Amino acid sequence: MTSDLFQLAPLLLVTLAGISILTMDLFRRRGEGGGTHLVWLTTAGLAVALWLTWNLWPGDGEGITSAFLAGSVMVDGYTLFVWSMLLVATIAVVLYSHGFDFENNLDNGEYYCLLLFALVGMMLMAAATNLLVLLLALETLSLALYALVGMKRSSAQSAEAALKYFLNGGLASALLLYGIVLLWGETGTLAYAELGPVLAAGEGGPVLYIGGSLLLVGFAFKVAAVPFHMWTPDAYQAAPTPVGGFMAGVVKAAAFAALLRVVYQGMLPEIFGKAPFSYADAVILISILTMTVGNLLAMHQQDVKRMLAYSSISHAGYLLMGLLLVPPLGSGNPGLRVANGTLLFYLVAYGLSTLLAFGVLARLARDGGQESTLSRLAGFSRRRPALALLLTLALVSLAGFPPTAGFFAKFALLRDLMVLSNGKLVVLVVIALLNTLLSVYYYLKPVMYIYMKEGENEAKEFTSFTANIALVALAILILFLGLFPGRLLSFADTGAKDLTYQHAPNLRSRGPARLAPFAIRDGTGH
Amino acid sequence: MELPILSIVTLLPLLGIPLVAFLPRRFPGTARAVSLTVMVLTFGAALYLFGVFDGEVAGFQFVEDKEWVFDSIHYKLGVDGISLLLVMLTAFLTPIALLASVQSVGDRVREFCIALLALETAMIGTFLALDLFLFYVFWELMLIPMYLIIGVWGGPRRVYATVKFVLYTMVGSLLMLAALLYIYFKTGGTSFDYSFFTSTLAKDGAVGALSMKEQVFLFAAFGLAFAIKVPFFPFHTWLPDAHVEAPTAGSVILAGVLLKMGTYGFIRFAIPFFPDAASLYSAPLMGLAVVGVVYGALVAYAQQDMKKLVAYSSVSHLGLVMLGMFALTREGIAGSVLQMVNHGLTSAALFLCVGFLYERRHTRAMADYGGIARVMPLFTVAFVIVTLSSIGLPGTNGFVGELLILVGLFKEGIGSVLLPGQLFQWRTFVLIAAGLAASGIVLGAVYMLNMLRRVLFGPIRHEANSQLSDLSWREKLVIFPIVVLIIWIGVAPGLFLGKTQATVDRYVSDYQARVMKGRNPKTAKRNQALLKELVEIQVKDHLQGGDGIVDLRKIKWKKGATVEGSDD
Repeated sequence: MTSDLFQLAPLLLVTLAGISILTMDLFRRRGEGGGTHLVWLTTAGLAVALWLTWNLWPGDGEGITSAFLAGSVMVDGYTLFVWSMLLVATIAVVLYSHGFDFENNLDNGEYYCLLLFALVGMMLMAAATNLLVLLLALETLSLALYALVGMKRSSAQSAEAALKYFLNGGLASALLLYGIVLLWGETGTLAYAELGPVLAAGEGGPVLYIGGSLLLVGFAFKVAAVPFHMWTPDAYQAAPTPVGGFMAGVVKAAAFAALLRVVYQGMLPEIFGKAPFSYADAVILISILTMTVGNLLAMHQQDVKRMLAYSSISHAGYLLMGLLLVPPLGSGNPGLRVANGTLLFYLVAYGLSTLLAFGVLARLARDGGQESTLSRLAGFSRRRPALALLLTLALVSLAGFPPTAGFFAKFALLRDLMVLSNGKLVVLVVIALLNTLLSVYYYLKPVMYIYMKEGENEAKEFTSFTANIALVALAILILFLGLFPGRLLSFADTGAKDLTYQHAPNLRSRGPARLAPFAIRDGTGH
Repeated sequence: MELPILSIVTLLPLLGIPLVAFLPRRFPGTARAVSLTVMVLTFGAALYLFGVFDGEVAGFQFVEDKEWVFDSIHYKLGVDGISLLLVMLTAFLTPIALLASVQSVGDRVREFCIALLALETAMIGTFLALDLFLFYVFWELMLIPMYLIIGVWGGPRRVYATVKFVLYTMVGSLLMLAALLYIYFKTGGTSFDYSFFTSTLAKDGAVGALSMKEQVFLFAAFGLAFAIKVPFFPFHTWLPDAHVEAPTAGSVILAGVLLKMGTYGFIRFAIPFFPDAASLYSAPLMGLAVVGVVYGALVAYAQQDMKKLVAYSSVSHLGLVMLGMFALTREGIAGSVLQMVNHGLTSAALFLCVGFLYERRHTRAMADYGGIARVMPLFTVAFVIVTLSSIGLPGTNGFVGELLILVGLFKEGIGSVLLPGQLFQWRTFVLIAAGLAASGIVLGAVYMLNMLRRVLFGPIRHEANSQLSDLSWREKLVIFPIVVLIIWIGVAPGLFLGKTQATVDRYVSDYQARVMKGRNPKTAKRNQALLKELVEIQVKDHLQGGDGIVDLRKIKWKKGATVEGSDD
């Protein structure tokens, strides 16, 4: 394990960029122009960070695994993949924030530096291999986000949403911390690498699995899984629209990436060896609940942002299904690594589509007011055919129609669930697909308003060349990944390879028998 | 390098999209002209394909196979006698649909052209795809353009109709996706290749061999997707809504091509993948098909709206196609393939005729017409020929298709060798079904001629009708090619049937051989005895220089394996 600081460069660079923007903003006169140069400066910083990340990407055959801070932070293929994903998505958010007037000229330095600090938190979350570092990273992210949600200071709704988010987030952090404490008390370690073997030994009693459950509940808050989803619609709707996109498309992806690492490297499923419920049962139950409740509630929303919030809940349900693909359930199957890759692919596809949807919605109202109702979209295709087409593409991708990234992501995830569970999860797959049917209903609703209703009001959408670049780039990415998913999928596989589930071989025979609701087979079928 | 003719036919319309998309909005005529050119070029490519296609070969031709996503998902296209005719039909009808919409679609012409071009690629791709992932992509790709065509350019209740259309279709196709993933897993999780599936799924003892129970569930999932698309009674309720609200071009594509996706899906996927389930459930399915034939005809007779009448007649006619298909005899399959094309031409032409009247008078109620023959003689000629073809009068295409289907049914009824259940009951059942289907055809004559009488003949009852102008040059260009084809197929079907002959022969003998080997518990024992003999005969035939394809009915079975009476 080398410990070359150069490998932390992307993270450090983003931090540096955040601080410099904050400093520079001190010398800027208020109320002058938009923040155009801030946008480009932030983008440049992020682009360099992205370039650095790609330079670190392992070539053929060689892996990179660098541990920092006594193994608390790990820069490996997985980290790099997630970093690239987060950086690209944040660049998109920064670009399409351009021209968005957060009331009282708030498109100032603090907006961009808060975005960057949130990004630092997320990047650290993905790299963290120690529960304490994870918590710190999560708090860095959350504090920045609370401020971002409440950016519209004069709006009561925004303040309410920020407070709600703050209280819920605080509760989630507290639960997470409590879970961490319990785990630490029982195992005496906070490092994933040491936690795993202890858990796999299966010595712990209720304290362990209660601690593990609390940890998962904390994450469930963050990824907005039912029944811990209540804050999501309010926060997404009331936050300035680009921030909504940032939360739905980027933060959720980061939370999932961190969750995936805990589950794999911390071997979390082993905790439930003695619990009255198995890990798989819990994940299946929560994922079904999450996708179904999210979809059902989304069906009757009149506000598109609120609808997208519920849609993001239902997508969390699909993503949670991917957590079933941990080794105890698919052991002995060589396709397992591909499965991690498909989950990452899904994160990318979902993130891009949601970002695009929010990005177009951000153009509906310059001041970020409550202007995203369905009826507001009537006649959109006549006023701005290109923007309308982009929004349609985003929704179609979220609904999972070909030839978009959303379709392939869903297809690949369900395919892996089916194959790796040896066909035992067929019912779950059918439930997921029927949920897609529900989602088609509400995703096509805005499309209906866009193309099939005529608008009475002469509503105006504002334009920004900078924002257009981001939106078109997102759309091209969505189509490209839908038509040629192979390249990204193999990158994702390379990244996911680093998430090894470190089974102690001598414990294998004792096996997590009750972890699997279905028998483990050697892949030959019968 | 060989010309990738299938890719050309499939992707040519897609290439037209950027051309149209970047045209200025104020030149709708140019957008139409460009799209029409692309579509005509596509039809030209399809004609070339028709010309070079070898009807004597039973397998897939012009196969293109490229890796797409890793090695498990391929871009694989191929054409055989069954898909060839349907591709021709699609390439033929799409430019006609565009031409027919010149007057009715005046708004957002550019978008309309784009939707139609995307739809054409999706439809042709669906017929040609030999990788099931690719097939599914094309299958789903059809939905969004059709959703927009009905929803944007449709009638007053278009939103309701189009949402209903999409949701109905999605129910089926999502279950089909689940089934597809399941068979992918069952066959080892390595490939979505069509031939790979057919060869592993239905084979006894092979890796992916399915149990009877699995087959039934999977057949139901695939079948539901296709049955909704057909539309098969009782899943037809979306059809009248969609047809009535769709613009003429939408109706033409919907009735002409999209409905064929369902019947094509049964023939191409559901039956060869799950032959045991197909044979086990052929009786109930044929029963439903007969109900569809008669019910569709009766409901059609009750309609006052011409478009609704034609829509319900589709339910009736496609019931007949399904009936012929599940007889699973050579004549039945050949007839139902031809009848798919016939129905595509005829119903498209009927919708066009209704559209011509609607564009003049803005009403589709039969009561608002009468005596049209006096003012629109050319139109009357076309409408009468098309109607007669729908009825199945000798000399028109409908006659050939329906006759083949009925012959297939009666043959199965009289000389069935495969035994889904008890032989005697099966034969009686098939004969009764054939009889009822024939009566359904008679009912077809009743409602179609009734429509002719009320719309075309008699005195002119409404003043507005006396001023109507006859067909314009554009309308002639739209309707008369179809009329020519209707008569051509009716008088000399050999050219078209010849292309499908070898494919259908192979199809039926494959099916029979598989069902004999199959796991249908009711018939397995006897079928096994039959199979043993069949193999012997095939080997003998092969040694004598034959092609190994044996007409089961010409075989004199040994005693002990006798078909007659041994099952009761």
